[in-house]
Amino acid sequence: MSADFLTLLETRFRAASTREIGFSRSAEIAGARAHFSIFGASLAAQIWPPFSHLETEFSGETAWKIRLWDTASTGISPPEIDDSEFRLEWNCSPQRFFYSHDNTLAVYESHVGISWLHRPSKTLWGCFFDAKNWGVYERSRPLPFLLPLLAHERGVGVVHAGLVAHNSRGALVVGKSGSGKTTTSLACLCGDLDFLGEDQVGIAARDGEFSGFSFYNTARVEDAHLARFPELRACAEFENGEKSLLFLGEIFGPTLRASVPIRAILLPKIPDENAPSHTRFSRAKGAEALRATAADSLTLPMGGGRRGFERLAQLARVTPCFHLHLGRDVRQIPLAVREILDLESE
Amino acid sequence: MHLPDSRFTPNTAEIAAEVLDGEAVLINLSSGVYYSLAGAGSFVWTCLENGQNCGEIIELLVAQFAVSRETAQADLGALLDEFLREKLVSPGTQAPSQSVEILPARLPYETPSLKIYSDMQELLALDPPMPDLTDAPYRKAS
Repeated sequence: MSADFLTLLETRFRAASTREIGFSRSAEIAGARAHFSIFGASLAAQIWPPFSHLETEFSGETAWKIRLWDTASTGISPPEIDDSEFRLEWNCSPQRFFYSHDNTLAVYESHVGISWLHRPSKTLWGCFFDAKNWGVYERSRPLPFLLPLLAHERGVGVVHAGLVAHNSRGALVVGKSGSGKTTTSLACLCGDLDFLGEDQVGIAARDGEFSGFSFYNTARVEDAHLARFPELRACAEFENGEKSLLFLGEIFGPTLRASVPIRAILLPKIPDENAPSHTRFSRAKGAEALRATAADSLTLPMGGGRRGFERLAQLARVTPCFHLHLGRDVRQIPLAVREILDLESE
Repeated sequence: MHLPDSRFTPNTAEIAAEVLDGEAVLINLSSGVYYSLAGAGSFVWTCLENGQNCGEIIELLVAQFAVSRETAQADLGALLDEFLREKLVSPGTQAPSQSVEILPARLPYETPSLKIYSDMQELLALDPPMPDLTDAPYRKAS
C-alpha cells in the first residue's frame, strides 16, 4: 500500500482533530493495549460504551492505535478509495471487506462508515458518516472485522459463544442460536458469576492452556426473553424490533472481566415444558462441542478458517465438556455452572 | 464401484477435519456446511487422510470391525460416492504416509453414514438483500 494513502488517512484524522474536542481512552482488548482517539462526541458515545469495562490506565505503551472521526460533526470526509488498489475479500453488501494487493491494508466498509487497518503498524483509522444514526447492530459491536482481525493477528480467534467465570475459572458457553447460550450467560451474570460476553468472545492458546477474552459488554436480547431477567431492564435500551440492546458496563462493571482461563465448555439445552426447575449437567464429548461451535464461529468475520478450526478442536480436546440441561428456573442455572467449575478445580 | 488401487485425497483446500473421541468432524470452510462421521466412517476418514487406497481400507475395516469383506467393500463404495458428491475428497495419487493403528479386539460394526449439517448455510441464505455501496461518494469512478 502506498505511503501516500496512509499519510492521507493520518492527515484526514488530524484535520478532524482540529474541529472537535477529542475523546481519549485506553483499553485492554484480547490481551493488547489499545488506545482510542475519537473526534466527534456522538461517535465517542457510540463507540466507547461497549468497551468501557476493558478500560485501563494510559501508560504510553500502546499495541493498537484506534483513530476515529465522525464526518457529520467534523466535516472531514474519508479519502477516496480506488477499487483497483484493493482486492474484494468478502461481500455481504453493504458490508464489504477488502485487502490492498500487498495485504498490508485491510478495509471494511458498511452503511455507517469506512475503516482501514494498517497491519504492520496496527493502526486502525475509521471515518463514520453520522454516528447519531446508528442502529442496534453497529452500537452493540463497534469496529467489526478490523478489531477481530487485530485480535486474530495476536492468535486470538473470535468464537460465537458466551463466556462466564467463577473464581477465575472460565466456562465457554457454546451452541447454535436458540440453544440457550444467552440465557445461560445472562443468568450467570445475574447470579454473581463473572461475565465476559454472551455472543462473541476471543479464545487463544497460551503456555499450554486456553484463555478467553471479552470484546464487548453489550447483549442483544429478545424482549420476551428479557422478561425473565428483570434486573437487566435498567441497562436495556428498547428498540422498535424484537430485540433490546443491553449495556452491561454501567450496572455490572465489577463482575465484568477482560480475560480468564477456560476450564469447561458448556453445551446448554433449552428446557421443554416438562423440564424440572433446576438445571442438571452431564459429560459431553469433545466432538459435540466442536460441532456446536465450529460452523457458527468459522463463518463469523475473522473466524479464523482452518487455523480457527484447529484451535477449536484443540480446545475441545483438552477441556472438559458438559451438557447443561437448563431448568425452568433461570436462577438455578448459575448454581450448576458454579458446581461444574468447582469440580474442575479439584 | 471403486477399484482396489483407487485412492481418494481429502479436499484440504476447502475442507478442515479433526477426529475427536472417535468422531470425525469436517467443515467446508467456504459454505459453513459441516459433517460428522462416527465409528467405521471416522475410521475410513482417518485411512483416507493417511493415504490408504480402497483395497487397503477394506482390509483395515475387516481387521478392525466385525464385518465381512463384501459388506465392507459395498459400504466403502457408497461412502466414497457420498464424499465425492459433497466434494470432501477427490481422486488422488497420494502414497500411504503412515499406517493406521488397529486395536487388538474387533469392534462392533455399523454401516458408516455421513451426517450433513447445513443449518449454517440456511442461516446465511436468510440474510436479506441490502443496498449496494458502489455509488458511495468516497469511491473513485472507474
